[in-house]
Amino acid sequence: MAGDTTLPAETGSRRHQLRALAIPLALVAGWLVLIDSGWFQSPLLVPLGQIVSAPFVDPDGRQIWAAIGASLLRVATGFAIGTTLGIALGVVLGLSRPWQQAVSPTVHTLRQIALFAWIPLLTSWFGNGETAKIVFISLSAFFPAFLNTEQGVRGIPPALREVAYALRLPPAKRIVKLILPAALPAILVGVEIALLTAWIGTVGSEYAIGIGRGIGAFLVAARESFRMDLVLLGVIALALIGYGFSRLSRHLYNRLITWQIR
Amino acid sequence: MSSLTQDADPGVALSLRRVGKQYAVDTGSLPVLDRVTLDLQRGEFLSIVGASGCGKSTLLRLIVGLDDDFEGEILIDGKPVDGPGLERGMVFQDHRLFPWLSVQDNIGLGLDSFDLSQRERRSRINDMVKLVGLTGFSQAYPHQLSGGMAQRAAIARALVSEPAILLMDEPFGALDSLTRLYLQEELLRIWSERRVTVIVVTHDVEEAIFLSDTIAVMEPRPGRIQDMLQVDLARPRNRALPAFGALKNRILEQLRR
Repeated sequence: MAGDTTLPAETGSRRHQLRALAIPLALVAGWLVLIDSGWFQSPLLVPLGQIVSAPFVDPDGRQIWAAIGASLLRVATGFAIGTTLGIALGVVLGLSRPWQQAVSPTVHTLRQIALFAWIPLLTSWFGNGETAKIVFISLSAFFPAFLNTEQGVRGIPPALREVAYALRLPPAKRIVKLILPAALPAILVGVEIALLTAWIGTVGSEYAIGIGRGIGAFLVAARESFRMDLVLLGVIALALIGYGFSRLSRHLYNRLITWQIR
Repeated sequence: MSSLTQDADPGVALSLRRVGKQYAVDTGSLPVLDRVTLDLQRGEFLSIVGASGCGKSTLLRLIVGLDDDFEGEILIDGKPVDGPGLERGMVFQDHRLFPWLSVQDNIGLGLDSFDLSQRERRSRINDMVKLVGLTGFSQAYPHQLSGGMAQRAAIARALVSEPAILLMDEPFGALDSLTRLYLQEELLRIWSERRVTVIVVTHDVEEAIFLSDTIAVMEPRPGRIQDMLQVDLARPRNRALPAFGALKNRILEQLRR
């Protein structure tokens, strides 16, 4: 039954994907024709071949692998801390009216602070090292995870809550069988946004906070030594990893929400 | 009040004593139920019919224990209701199955407050699946079921805790007419197999006559019982019989007043 309906949708989305590739492919082709061929020369525009081969042949370019490793480790840690806290707080506040009234306004006010405005505060509290970065990344993941979870829990249909009440579901069963699954679509949207903001937060913190490895730091170093090829390499790495995260969370959503009529 | 509790008839499964309910509105209070009194015998099939707004669903919600803000007394086996309890099973108009749980897990929700072994649990769920005719669909999810099948699963969920009273709020109101007729017959079969006491709230007079031993006719503003009728027709009832039609006309006449 489900197979019949997914098949045409699948081919349709494949055609969409091809259409979405048109602009990137045109850009690459244009770049190859204009720059790689030597028609157009500028210190700011580096041949694509040089950028792409840098991670393998260039001694400075090889640093990108360690930078990617450091950034991924950092984003994983900060994301894990931030989303766990965000989901937990979202569930608690979504379930308890008094707690929500006491805590929610504060969190919603803190959310208004632009993310990067936290950096001076965090560095003065935690120094210029790893701790400040992890706290900053956690914070950037926390808000979307929290907000979406809270919304999701509050949006559980009263009709289903009533069923749980009429059937006298014990609290633990109520959380496992009603609250979490009902809020799961919203939670996963929160996780998706949290993953992307955590990634932005990771690179931002590496760029803005002190020294150390990471793609952000790689970009700083490349720019300071006027290595446009490495700057562009860093940017491409950022985009690809961000895109990967987005695909990953979409995949997670589709795997976990099987019961929804999509 | 205490005298009523003391002389409780052991054959009575449910009794309502001058049950009243009002909603607070800007201009004061709006009465929705006014001194509703009735006794329901064990194993009896009662239908409550009435125009919309006569408080019949509200009355059912009070009996289920979803609302405890009322006057008078609701006694189950002589004891006042105190919130929902598993000796009462509830079926809503919309099936209200949890979309992320399979049919068997939805039915299992009715057993979650009991401490049962996995085996006992599975066998009770399977019995219910069989009883409501959903064999082969225990692994299905609600979105894969037709409206009638979903309502069967909801009935199984309400019955799995083996309640003494089954309460149904317009259970077939959202179904197409063929499915509705079929499920009415199924409900009578389940009722005679399980020997439960049943209250069905409906606005379908024919449905009430087809199903019930007793019909409570309610009138609105404020909601109160206008008449209690015994249906003295042999089951299975034939809707084409003159006696069926006569009773139907009589009730419709009363509702029109």
